[in-house]
Amino acid sequence: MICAYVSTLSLASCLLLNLLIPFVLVFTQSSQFNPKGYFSYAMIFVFLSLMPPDHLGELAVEIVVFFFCVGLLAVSIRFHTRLFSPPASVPFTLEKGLSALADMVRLLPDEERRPELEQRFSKLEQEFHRQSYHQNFFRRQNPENGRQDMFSTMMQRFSYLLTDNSWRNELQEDQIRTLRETAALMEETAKRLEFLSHKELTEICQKALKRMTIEEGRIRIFCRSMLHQLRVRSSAETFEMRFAMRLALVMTVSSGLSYVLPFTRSYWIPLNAFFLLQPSYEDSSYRMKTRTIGTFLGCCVEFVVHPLLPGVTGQVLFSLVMISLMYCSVPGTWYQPIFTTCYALTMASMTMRGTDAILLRILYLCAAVVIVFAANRFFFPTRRETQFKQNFKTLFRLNNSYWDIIRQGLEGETNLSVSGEILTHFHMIAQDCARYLREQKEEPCREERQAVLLKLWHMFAELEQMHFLIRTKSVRPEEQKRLLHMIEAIQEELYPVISGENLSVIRRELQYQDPEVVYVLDQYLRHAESLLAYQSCIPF
Amino acid sequence: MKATWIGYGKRFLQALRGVAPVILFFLTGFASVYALFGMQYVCVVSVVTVFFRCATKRTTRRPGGICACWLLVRF
Repeated sequence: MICAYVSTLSLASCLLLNLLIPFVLVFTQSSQFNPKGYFSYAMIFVFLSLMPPDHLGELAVEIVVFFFCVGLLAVSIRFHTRLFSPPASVPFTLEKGLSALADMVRLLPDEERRPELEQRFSKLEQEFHRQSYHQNFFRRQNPENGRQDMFSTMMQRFSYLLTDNSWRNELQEDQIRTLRETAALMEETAKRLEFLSHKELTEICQKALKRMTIEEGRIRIFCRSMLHQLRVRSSAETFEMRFAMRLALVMTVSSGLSYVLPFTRSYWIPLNAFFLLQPSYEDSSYRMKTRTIGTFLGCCVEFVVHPLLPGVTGQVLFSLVMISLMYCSVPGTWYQPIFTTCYALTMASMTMRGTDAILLRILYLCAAVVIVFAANRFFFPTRRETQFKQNFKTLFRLNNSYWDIIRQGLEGETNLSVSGEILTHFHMIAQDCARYLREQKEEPCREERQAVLLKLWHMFAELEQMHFLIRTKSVRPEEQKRLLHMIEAIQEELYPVISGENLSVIRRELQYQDPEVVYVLDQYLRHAESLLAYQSCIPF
Repeated sequence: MKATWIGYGKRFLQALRGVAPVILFFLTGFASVYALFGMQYVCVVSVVTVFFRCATKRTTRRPGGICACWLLVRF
């Protein structure tokens, strides 16, 4: 509110703040997974800077009005929640997540319940990744983060078992019992997560690990990794930047123009520009058409209806009806601007001639359309298809980044929070790519790209396991140099250009003493090799 | 043709029922700010209404709540 006031004091402050505030808001509140996160906050700034108070006294009153409205908002939300909503859902907590995962581990051997498990796991995964992703900006390393990283890795282990059924062939009674014991231990840990000391937890897990007598295999790897994770409990070009730059540019140019124009109601330029500019190029283009049609129709309605309204009371009542209808309509449609225009023009007509208001409304909208069109077209455009390609490329890049983490792990200790972050990033982007492919039914190579996504997902799961094996010193010191060379070769094969010609050679040369290391690397290389069949469909 | 108009009408009523709390919030805020502070400050209400709309979108409506809403709208 203060920033909004300061932005109206001089042209310099207007330009500077309109450049900075939208940029900061998009950068901190929005992401490609929550593109409109900036909207409500930016709207406060934009609306309040449109009709600035004349002096500090008025600013004080405006602040009082704002807090009055906030009080009303708090009371209304409370009232609404009591009246209309079921009890608020319990927010995601680590205890709740761990307990849910324990329950799913218990059900894992039951093949009939696999669809239910998949559904439950997908929900838990989304809830967790959403929470983790939006914590990234101001996050500091603390014990809670360490526990979250641990949970993230446990989820990864679980998903690997859930999506690949081959381990069921080797499932025996003692393995089912081990799974149940692991689930019970997780359940117990979930209940006492806040109270157990690191030492106590380590002892419990160590005992369980010693008790484990089942043969080597997938179930053993899974259970051991779960327990190891419990034991080790302590332990960004893209969309945001592009959209932040675009919004900042549009707001700076439109507000600057509004500031220097000597005509009344010039604030309609930044206001229209603000609503026209959308995170994606396609949405913005659509809004430029619908808002223009709606505004023109609204002007026609106002031209006919306004002379018929009986006095100020009639005008206020008409504008209130119009704004109520505006709330009933879907944002972005061609008819919503009809109501917005009628409301704005009726209010404006109280202080100026109706026909002048109509003319200014159309002129200012045209100015806003020109600004937004230019910014959208020439200044960091974010088309959905381009974003998808960028995301796809990022998935491959993240694969290589994970290898970098593994390399660091070979040379020294790595922090689990680093792999937790990369995991979250990978899953959010993979989900976004999957959603794009689901929605774009005409997309070329759609099915092939979906298959590539799945393979990348498998590869990431294997990298995750590899990282775990490195941390548990499963690669002998004398094997480390060979593995480092292999990592370099794999990275060259996959990114920035997928060649993959030497993958089969690398796979044949796998010689490590620990069979788990050989198994995980072999699986990774097989999946990487299978990507070659889709080479022509990979969009970069 | 008649059926189409009935369809539009039904959709409109459905939308109205969904946003009735938002409209009520806006109207209450508008009336209070207009009465207490004056017309020049009513734009603040539009901004706060966006927050109210976002907050209420996240909750699921129950039939009892819809009835209560209708009562509020009617009286």
